[in-house]
Amino acid sequence: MKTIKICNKQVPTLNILMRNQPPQWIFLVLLLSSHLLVACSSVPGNYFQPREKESEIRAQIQDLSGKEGFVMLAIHFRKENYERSEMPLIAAKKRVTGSTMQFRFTGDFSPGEYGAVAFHDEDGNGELRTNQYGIPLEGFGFSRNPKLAGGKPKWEALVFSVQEPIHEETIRMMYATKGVSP
Amino acid sequence: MNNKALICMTAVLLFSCRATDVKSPESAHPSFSSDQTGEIIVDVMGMDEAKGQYMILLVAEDPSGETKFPGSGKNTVVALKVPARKGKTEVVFDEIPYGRYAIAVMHDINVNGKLDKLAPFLWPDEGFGFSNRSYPILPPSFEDAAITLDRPSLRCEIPISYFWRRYGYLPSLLLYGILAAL
Repeated sequence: MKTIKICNKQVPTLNILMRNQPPQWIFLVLLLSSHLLVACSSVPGNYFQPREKESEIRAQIQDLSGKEGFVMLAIHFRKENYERSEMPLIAAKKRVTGSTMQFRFTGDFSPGEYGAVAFHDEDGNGELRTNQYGIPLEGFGFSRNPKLAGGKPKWEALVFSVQEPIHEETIRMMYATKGVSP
Repeated sequence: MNNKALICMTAVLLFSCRATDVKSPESAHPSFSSDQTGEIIVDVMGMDEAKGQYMILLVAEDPSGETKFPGSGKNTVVALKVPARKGKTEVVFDEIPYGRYAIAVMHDINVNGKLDKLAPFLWPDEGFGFSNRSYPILPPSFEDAAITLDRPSLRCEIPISYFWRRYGYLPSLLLYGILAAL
């Protein structure tokens, strides 16, 4: 143990922490290990697995009001992902150009069951604006247009199965502020 | 070491950062002065395995002439998240009015919705690509990546570059070595 003189007193110090610095090589070790961790990053297990046949999903969004903002559509393939609103199969956002819009997706989708959620993002912030009671202030729609019983519809009410080469779905936009059409 | 490291890090930050807005609640869309619409076919050339998702962004030209790319959501026409396929993935944007556009593609392998980076201003660990065959060290400006849609159909090929996976983390080691030697 070395000692140095400070104010005429002998103060013991440790050689390694003389300049209050961690050893340089530790940064290299951290850098390399985090690089390795990221390099081994892999697709999570609950992401989409391609199905056997190729097919097309056409989603037509109707009853849009206003020409501002974006229509955001998400097609989910798994109940848990839909309930948590994460990791959809496809998420698409298109600028509104009329009262109906069409989205078409081709891929290895059949046979499979999917559910679609759409909303009309008028202010462009990427999120559905809700008031203090949780009622959305922007337009929203679901596949198979289920009757809303309070809250997000259940997966079983939305799910449609894709078997044919082309599957068409119609989604009617509902606006809580402008009167909900039956 | 501390002072010089700070100076070097700020130099790296200044050199590698681009001024891009992140949030904008404006809903004014770019003026589409043309009535004719065409389609843009994007061929994304990625990895040999089907891993993760592509996040594709189509940005239109700002009517004022100064477009920020990728910029805030003000000039976005379409934003899309699709599962990646082996080799080439084809994405078609239809009913796009004539004009100038730029496309940015990010390959999100672990499907967490963002491009993973080791440190804020380094290159991403996952893949990225831009239109007009610009192979960037830095993200290109709108002018460098712009393609003009003046025909009914336009095909655009975008190779995805995996910077770290190609160069094997050597540049980051060199960078760190230089910083540590000071």
